[in-house]
Amino acid sequence: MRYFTLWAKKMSDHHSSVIFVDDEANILKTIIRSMRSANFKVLTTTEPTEALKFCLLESVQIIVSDFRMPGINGVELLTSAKQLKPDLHRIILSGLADENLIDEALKNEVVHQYLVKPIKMTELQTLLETILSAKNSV
Amino acid sequence: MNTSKDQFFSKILNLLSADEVFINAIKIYTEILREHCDAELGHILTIKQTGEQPTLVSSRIWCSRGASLTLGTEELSALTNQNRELLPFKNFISVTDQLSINEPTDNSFIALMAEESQLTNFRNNSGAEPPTEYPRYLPLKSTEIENIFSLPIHSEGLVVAVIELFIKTSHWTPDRKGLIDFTAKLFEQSLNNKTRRAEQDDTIQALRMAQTQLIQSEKMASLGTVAAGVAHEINNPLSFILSNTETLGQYIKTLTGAITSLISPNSPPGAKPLSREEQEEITYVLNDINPMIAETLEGIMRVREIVQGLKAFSRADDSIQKRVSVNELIENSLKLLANETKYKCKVHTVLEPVPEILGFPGQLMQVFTNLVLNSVQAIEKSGVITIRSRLRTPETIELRFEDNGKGIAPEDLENLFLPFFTTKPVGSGTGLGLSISYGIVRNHGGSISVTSTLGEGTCFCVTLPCGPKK
Repeated sequence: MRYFTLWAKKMSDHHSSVIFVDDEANILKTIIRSMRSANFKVLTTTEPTEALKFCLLESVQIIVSDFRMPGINGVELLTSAKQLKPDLHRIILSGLADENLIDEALKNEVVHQYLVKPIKMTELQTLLETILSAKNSV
Repeated sequence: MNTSKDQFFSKILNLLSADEVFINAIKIYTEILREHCDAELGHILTIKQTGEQPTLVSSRIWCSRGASLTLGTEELSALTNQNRELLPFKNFISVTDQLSINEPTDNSFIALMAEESQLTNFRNNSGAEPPTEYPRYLPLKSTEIENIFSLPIHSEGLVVAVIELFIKTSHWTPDRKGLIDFTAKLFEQSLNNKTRRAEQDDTIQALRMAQTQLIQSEKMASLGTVAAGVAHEINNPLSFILSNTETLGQYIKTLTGAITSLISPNSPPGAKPLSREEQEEITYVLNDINPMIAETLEGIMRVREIVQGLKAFSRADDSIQKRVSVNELIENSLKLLANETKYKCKVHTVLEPVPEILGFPGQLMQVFTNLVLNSVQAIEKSGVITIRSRLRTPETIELRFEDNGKGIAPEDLENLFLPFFTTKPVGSGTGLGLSISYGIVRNHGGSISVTSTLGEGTCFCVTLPCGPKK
């Protein structure tokens, strides 16, 4: 009898990816850690421009971005991402954001969801999996 | 009776009971008068305003032929009771009353004649009937005191005290009256000066308090400006601390599971080796657990530093000067402002070792936070802030806060340190930041100056003395 939870899954199983952008590397490390059991591939970067490159990968279906980052804010980043890949699901995950800008972006469908830090990673994972399964069942 | 009049009387009472120098001066006046009038005893009564009625109150000031004596309240209350022998006057009667002398029309003395246990012959130009009762000390017949002369002392049109002279003879000579008038004037003058000074002290005290409150509220206002940023600075580490702790729980579950299965009596050693997947998982957990704890601790330290910075900044007990390191205070301020600075400017610090200074850390942090915040706000999209500290002379520390922001218009430069001057949009600046910073730096014996070029940037230069305390 084993009291053992095996929750890592092979990356090669995943056909969907989520890209996370945050200027705080520790937050990205945390995301990698807690999403190991997720049924999607986790990509992370602290560089907003790099995030846009990742978006072009076919597997990337969701982008989760911080709001305040050096040189660019999350809404600006997601505006570019929308232009590059309109069907990308776009989420802002932030502890402090300009609420007016976010409201506007939600209205214009630049941002699909606005999540507030700190958030429970298990909840975030469930949410992302739900979005992905909805997207992939279409 | 209005309150200000009550306050006035209580102020006089305080003066006559608390201020030693003043009491001595009054004692001398009374003694001069007593001697000149050849009186047996001189005494000062003050007036206490109780409700509508003024009441005479014995002060501690008594002079008698021979030596002057000061009676404490205990002796006075003893007098009003049985031990009247303490004084040369045995028929001491204590009567509370309203004074007819509270509004003398001729400004002159009032003589009260005493005959045995009865007061007669009240001299008053108004011709009013004497009140039936007086707080009077009736002299002993054996001392042959016939007259008590009461000299009202005015201040701001009110009788505030009465000098009493107990005199054997009723012969008044004009020169005596002249001296009495003169002394009364002196008395009045010093009383007036004294109350005026007390009022000035009150005003200064009130101004000081107002200033302290102003500094405090400006501090709170700038705290409000940075509060959202500080919250974000705390929230970021908090979010990975939270998540890492959750993960740590998972890791422990994994490890506990493995250990339990290995040491369980049901599974003999070596009987059930861990699968390859399980081994990989454990290896991952063991490799990740230490860095994860390190990251979590780093996050906790960051939160701790911010909270300490906030505490130093908002310190309300900043009433005692302390030895402080200005470099440390600058670092603290920068930690508080990290969220304001990091997204649009690079902050360079060139902090040379400088001696500690004697100062108020919270106030100095207020100045530094203010100057850095101004620099950040001067930078529109991205820029550089440079903060330098150095020892300019062995007694002077020089701090420079430079930015390459939009600069200040020449016509605004001269108004920069004026209270309520602001170029920021309504609601985003109190207009007090720089004027209060100026006040704080000046209070520390330093100076603050500014040079700026439109479109190129601004430099605030703060000097603070660090020499030995003079």
